[in-house]
Amino acid sequence: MKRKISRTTIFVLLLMGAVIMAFPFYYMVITSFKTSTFIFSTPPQLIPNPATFDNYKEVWNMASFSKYFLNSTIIVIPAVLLNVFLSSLTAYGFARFKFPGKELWYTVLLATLSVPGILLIIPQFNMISHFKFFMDNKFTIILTSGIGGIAFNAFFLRGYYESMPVEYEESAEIDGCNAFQTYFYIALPQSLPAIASLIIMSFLGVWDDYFWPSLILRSKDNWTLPIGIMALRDQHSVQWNLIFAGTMISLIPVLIIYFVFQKYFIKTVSEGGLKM
Amino acid sequence: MTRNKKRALTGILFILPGLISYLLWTIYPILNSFFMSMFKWNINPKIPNQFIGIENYINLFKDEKFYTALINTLKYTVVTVPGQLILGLIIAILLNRKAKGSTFFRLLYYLPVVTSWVVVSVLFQYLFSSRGGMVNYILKDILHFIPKNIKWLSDPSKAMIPIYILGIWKGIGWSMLIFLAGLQGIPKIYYEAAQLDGASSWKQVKHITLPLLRPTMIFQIVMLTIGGFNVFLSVFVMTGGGPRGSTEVLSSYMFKEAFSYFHFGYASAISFVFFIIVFTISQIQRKFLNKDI
Repeated sequence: MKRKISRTTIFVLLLMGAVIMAFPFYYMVITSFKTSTFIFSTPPQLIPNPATFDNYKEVWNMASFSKYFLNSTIIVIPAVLLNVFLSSLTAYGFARFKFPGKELWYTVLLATLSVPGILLIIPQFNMISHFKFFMDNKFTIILTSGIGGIAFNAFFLRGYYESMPVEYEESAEIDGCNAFQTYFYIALPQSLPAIASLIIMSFLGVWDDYFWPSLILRSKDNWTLPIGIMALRDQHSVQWNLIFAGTMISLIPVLIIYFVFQKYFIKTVSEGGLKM
Repeated sequence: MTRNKKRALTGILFILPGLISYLLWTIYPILNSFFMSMFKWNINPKIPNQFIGIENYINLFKDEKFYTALINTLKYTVVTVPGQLILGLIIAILLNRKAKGSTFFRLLYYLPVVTSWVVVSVLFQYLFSSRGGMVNYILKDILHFIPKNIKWLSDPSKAMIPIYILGIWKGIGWSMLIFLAGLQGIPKIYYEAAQLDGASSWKQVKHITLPLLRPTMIFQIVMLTIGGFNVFLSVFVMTGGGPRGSTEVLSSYMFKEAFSYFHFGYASAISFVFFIIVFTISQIQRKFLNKDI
């Protein structure tokens, strides 16, 4: 009997916590369906009435979120592919080969993991600003996001490659594959669970990045979703219903990926997190 | 070429693209940042930069705004790290009891972690609006805790509070997940033995769970502290460092100096001191906390 009560107590406690955690999201969703009259009404509406889809239409068309969505997509796909490809090449090199200076390089790589990204932005901006080609160009964000964070990713993947049995790769080489073919056709597919985690991490990093793109992408035609959201918020008369339609547009792809690939998320955090 | 030499060369070819990117986009900027901090740096390449040695650093130590930013950053860390850690631990322990719907709860508690800082900061700014904001409505009209609306984000003595709350709310899920992984590593047999001896749930937590979670906890304290020091977007979005500099943190102050006033040399000096502080603290924590496992 005692056990049963405590189980119910646990459930109730967790449910209360969940309400606190989820309420801000709920309020964001319903605000995105409200008309502007009811944004600050007292008492606040907990179910939008009248509910309207106009905020989404207006943000998508008038506020150019269709364009920002496209820009974000154009940037995120090649950036993530480049990032994951470079990281896995590097990790595979460290995991499977012996070469002079290997552990030294690896130590240098790890040592800079604790360097705050914020420290890098000023000199990086200084570098980029010397080249007119790179300013206000989506390609810059693809490239810089693609080559960023390799140290952490390589560190994350190396352990995975080392834990894979080497026999398949050896037999592939005996069958005449060169080293790159062995990596590409044998090792890479085998490491897919880890790669999937990396894709998700990398996707979130690029999709949500605000500060760096806002420094580079100056013209509205090149803006990404986070820049668009901040621009909506900085308007003279802040229209929260529109803003939250905008944040929902940027959040929906993240949510889909999160719910579909949740087991990879959990694996990434609980394994990748603990190895340091 | 011998087989070994050939393999070494292949290995180098594999890491070369990553290594070059890394040297160009991480190592060079770090060195360049230190270099820039010695100059009165000019963003316009046509005007030569003036070498001033350690003057930026001397000015920094006389700069009151820097100290405010440093203190706010420390306060944020001191409040949010235990906040995330304790709540994350409680939730993880409850979830680990295989409560009903634990997968659902885990998914939900982790949701703020995957949501971007821009989105949640804008959201919290709305929730904490002084007139008609949801937080004031709950505190004043439902719970009657406060007699009148609080100006959360425009009162210098209150403006850090929403930033703390957001920091904790967003980070609980991460802490929970790491703790869950740690908890799953504890062999069930310990608890079974304790139950046979008649130990209460609380005693089991105190004598089995907490001591065995120590490495997980050290890892989290170090990581959360680094994260706390890096607080940026919530401040940037919700208050912009205001009102009257009362919520300025190290990173927001650095950004203001760099991208509002274009004092790149001075901002680099801030970022370097910032890096040294974070690095030192995390080293001390690691040493100190690792001592008596």
